[in-house]
Amino acid sequence: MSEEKVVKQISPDLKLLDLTLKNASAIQSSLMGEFTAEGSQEILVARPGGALEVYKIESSDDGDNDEDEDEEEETRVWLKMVMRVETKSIIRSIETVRLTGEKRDLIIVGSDSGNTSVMDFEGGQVKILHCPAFGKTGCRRGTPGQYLAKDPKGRAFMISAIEKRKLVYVLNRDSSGQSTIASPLEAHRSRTIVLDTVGVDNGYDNPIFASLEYQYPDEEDLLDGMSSIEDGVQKEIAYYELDLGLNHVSRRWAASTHPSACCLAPLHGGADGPSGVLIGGEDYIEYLHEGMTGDKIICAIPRRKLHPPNKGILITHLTVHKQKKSKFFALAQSELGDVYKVSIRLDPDDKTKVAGITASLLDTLPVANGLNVSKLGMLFIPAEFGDHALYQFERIDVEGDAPSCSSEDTIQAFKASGATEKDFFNTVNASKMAATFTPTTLKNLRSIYTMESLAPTTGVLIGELAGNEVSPQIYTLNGRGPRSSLRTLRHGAAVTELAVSDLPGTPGAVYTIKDISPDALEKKREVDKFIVVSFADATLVLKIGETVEEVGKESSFVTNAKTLACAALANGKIVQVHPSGVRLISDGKAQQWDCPGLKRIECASANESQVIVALAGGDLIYFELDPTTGVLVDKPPIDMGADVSCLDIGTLQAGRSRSMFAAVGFRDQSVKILSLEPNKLLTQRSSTALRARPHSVALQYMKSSGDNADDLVLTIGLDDGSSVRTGVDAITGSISTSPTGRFLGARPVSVSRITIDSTAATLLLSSRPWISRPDPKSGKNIMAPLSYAPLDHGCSFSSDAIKEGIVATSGTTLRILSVESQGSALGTEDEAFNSNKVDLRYTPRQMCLHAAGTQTDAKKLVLAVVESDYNDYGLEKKNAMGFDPTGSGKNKEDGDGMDIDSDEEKDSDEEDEDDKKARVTPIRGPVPDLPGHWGSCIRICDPSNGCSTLDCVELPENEAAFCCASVRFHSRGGEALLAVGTVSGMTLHPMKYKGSFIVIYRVLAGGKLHLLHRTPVEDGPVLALAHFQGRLLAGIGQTLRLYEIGKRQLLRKCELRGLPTMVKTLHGAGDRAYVGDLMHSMQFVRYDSATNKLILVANDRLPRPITCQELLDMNTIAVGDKFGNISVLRLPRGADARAVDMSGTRALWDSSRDNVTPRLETLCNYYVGEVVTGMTRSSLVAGGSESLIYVTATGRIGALVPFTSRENVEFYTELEACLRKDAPRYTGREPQAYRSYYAPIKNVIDGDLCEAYGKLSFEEQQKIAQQIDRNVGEVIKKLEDTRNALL
Amino acid sequence: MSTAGGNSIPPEQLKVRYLGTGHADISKHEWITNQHRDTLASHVAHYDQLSYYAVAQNESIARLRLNMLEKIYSPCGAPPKKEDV
Repeated sequence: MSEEKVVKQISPDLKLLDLTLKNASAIQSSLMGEFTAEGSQEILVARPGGALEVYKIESSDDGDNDEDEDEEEETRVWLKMVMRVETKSIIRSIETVRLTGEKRDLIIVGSDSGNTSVMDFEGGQVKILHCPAFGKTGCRRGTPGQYLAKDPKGRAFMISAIEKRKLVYVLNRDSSGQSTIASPLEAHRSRTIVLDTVGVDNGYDNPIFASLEYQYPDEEDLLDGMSSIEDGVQKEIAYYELDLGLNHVSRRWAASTHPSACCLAPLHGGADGPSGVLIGGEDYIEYLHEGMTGDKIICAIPRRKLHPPNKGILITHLTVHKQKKSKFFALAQSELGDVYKVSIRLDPDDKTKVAGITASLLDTLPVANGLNVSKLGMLFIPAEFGDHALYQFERIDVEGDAPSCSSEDTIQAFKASGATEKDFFNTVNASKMAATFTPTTLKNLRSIYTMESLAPTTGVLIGELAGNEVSPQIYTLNGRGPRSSLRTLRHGAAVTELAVSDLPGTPGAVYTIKDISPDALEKKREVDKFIVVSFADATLVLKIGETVEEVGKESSFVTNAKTLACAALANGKIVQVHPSGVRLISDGKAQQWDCPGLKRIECASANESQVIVALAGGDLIYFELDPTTGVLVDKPPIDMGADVSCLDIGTLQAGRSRSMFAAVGFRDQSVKILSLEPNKLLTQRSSTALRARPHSVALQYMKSSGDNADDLVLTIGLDDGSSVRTGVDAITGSISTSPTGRFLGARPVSVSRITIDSTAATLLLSSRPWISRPDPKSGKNIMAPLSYAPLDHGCSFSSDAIKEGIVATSGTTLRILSVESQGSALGTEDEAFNSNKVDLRYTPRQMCLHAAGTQTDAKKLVLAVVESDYNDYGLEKKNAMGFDPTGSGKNKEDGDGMDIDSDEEKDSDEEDEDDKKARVTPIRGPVPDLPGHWGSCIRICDPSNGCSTLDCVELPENEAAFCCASVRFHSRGGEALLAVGTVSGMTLHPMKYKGSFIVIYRVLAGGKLHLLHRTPVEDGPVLALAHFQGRLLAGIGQTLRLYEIGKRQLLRKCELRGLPTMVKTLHGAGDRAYVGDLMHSMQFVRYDSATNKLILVANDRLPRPITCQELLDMNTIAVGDKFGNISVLRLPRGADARAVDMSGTRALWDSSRDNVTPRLETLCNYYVGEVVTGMTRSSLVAGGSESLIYVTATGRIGALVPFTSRENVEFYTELEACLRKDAPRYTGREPQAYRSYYAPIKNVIDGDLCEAYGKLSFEEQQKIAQQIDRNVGEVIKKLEDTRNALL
Repeated sequence: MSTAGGNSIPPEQLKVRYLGTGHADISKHEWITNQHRDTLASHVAHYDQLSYYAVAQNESIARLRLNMLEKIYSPCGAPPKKEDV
């Protein structure tokens, strides 16, 4: 239990290192374009936390497997990350611009740096073209950066602030073809708030930018009665014209729009279309352009049947897509997720005029932060919350049968009503004339790829709760409303199990033999022909075809002895090494070389042309294939003087006839590299001493960070469960001086070569399987465990069906596995976790670990999750209204997402299942017309069974659960009870509620919830609960209260009133309670059991709006706040002693005497860049040291790792200082200033900045390494080691 | 406040140049309105905070952004009449 964690004293000079475990997965905006190369359809996404990423849409039917005959196989489409840029700043807006005559897009970024940055991503390399400064740093009201708009012809762009300021930059080219940027032209307008800007397409006339804006009244005018706020917001669309001749910007034209207008999209102009802008707002889409005559062009949007008629539906995003032959259409998405197709009808007489628009329902998709249509008919949706998705259009001409509304009908209704514009275009009238529909599964789109997103993460818990795994899992609460989920994240790559079959015994090794028959070579595909499984005294040969079948004696293999090595030779023969000899097999006939005398072969290794065997006693014999005679020629034995424990002959590089080196491991704890050159045969080139006996070695060529030759890498698995990886010089054979070691598990490590994503990788098997491979992007080697059961032996496997697989043995089973790598860069930091999710019903708010069951022997750990949604009905009410969450047409009794799969009819065949899955879409429930409605439930999940739901209790109408805690009341014995804090009928603006309760449940052995009693509480809503000294501590509004359990309700024991605003977080340890306030940071409270009083011990200097907290030791607490800071606060020495109230004159420590309350010291301060919503202290590997793991609202998982040695502190401090200077500043933001956004950074080192070292050029790396008196290899190794120690 | 060269800026210019610059006779209402406008603009500019509020209120991020931008119009209502001050 969390409150029973060992709390130990931490050192006074706490210094932390911030490392990202998983990058923020939300996308704040995205754009389509061609960035890295011409003709590539790429998606640029901006992620919170300041990262820009470029994704390419890849599909399985392009590339080199075009000629494959597996056409019936469905083409798979995925997004591949091409590049990632960490800007170390807050990105506010992004825009693409294509200079005249260019074939690629440039990227413009508006950020908090006070600069605007124009970048070129050619070839995946970032080139900062311009970064002109124009204002102050920070996301201020009047500093431009919030909005970016470009001229469609690439001649200029406008960058605007929320208020007043707009700057126009003119882009040009100098005589050498380099792009230039002119100093900005101002288009300021005071008291003007901008809601959106776009560049209007008017061909090659002067560039025009459209801005949706309004002006607020001047304070003086209000006082003088010259204007009044009664008129309300009056929005305008204004055209700002850049006069290229005069070089100035003027506000050329403005027209009022309807009052709820929200977003803009420009229509194509010039020769391609009518120009002008579409304006999306509440319930209406409008078209406006300068010089329009005749009627307004405005149309209502189709509405959901269950949507209340007085509640508007906002169009939140608009995008225009140009089809071929100057045809175009627009897409609009509403805040409910419904996507409308807006078709624009042109005047038949004058093609430059718009005659009318029609909005028709396309489909219901997740609510998105953008709509990106690709030229290939795909739609990318960066979801606000939950997974992002890529859709394929199946149909776009939907006007005929989909619910539609046209502008003509809307105008007709307007004219018929006789009302004024202002009175008519409101929600009530819109709902009268709009077509209605019921959201269903996808009809015109098909989901083809989803990109995982953890946003929003609302809670985190770490522990080995699955019960049978080595490493702890990370449990996170994610999503919102219909997309809520509980995810289990495991470090490592996900593995797909393709086949499992039983074996007659426990195998000692497994090999595959390549098919190099002319037939197979013709196809240019490397597939395997045989799987050879070796037992203690037998060998099993399995032939790979359509199925895998055993072949007996006819294979000519020796089957009554174990196999030590086998391989296909270049001439089509097969070599098998068994203890008494080497056998050469061709077409069912065999030749054998027998061991001299009574000696036995201990170990062996073979490739296409070479075989090396080690005899007992240390004799090595080398064989080489004679290309003319086709036989293996043995060379005289050489005595190595020590027993050989393992050896590897390496692989042939393309075009070479032999491997130049063999690696041999000896029992005297050393590994030697021997030369295989004919004239220096088996002479030692280099050797390395190890701390344990080598168990297995592998020598292979791996992709290097540079573009040139591959690196030769030696990987050694040791008997003590660790591995060593070192580079070998490909010419001299010398081993590099700084090998990287890593502990992998409790068993001797066996190493083998595999292929992932067509690049070489290493499989390392200990008590956990691992994969090691180089990441050419960062230049680092990546080690990732596989999320799979322990394997004993393994090697690569490839067949027609499985391109890159692994065949492995585990116990007495043979398994064929494949490592998930498609669409993601396996093993890079970003993909270091694989996740499983279970759906929840409402937005999860909090979770806690709970021991279920009453008898001590039947105890079982379960997860209790409280879920609640504001502005939503409860399940019963939804069902009663006829709402169907699946949209499939059949209304189910239980709309619970978790049961959908089991309810599905099983008889439908697989394709139908796939199709159904591609058409599932989240549908938000009916929105209540008045505030104060809640849907909420309490759920018990079983972490040992994939987090399946054991029980789920729906709360009474409009009652919402916000917090939960597992409590053991001492007066009730050892049974743990679940306490849930609920509030009923709450509205947020203004904050009001009807009642608040603490509900106590027993969790029975089967995980069923059994209600004990409900206790109404006064004084405020319950937002925090904690176990405290065998009682329940509750934060109720401004009051902290201690409860004892009673028969019919909870009994008050004592309370502390007058806390600043509202208790948000609560922790108890010893006699202390740690109270986090909604606005006023931490209060340390002490319970004096003698006088039964809660006494305020200390509070904080800064008013932090606390979102989460975690206790580090009795005097130290880490907190996260709403602005995205993490701070560590400590009680000053002796402060507690003064709080002991001997005399009973409590007034001395009363919070009313603010100036005498001791203040907490700030130990650390760090700006994460995203709202931190949860943190926990835990280690991520069994037995590892603890670090502080935090999650953010936008889906980042990060770790703050305490430094353990002074040396490391010095190293990182120096490295960080160098990188602050030398790391590229993509948006011009100073890294240190960014991390000090709200308060100066203190005692935390930005690990992500330090890791940027790996991405610098070698010269820069060397320069920095010199400055800190190290070499490049050492620095990179240190960075790797730190990360490896964490995971 | 001074220019890059170190010369001081006259208050009238300062008020024009920097939004929300106060003056000696600033009313409480104007002062607090300014603060609210700054806060709302800051919320809109930080995507992470917007999404945090969006989860709490179960609204779409774009709706929340619009609400906040519209609230800038008059975050604290009309100023009290002059004679009341």
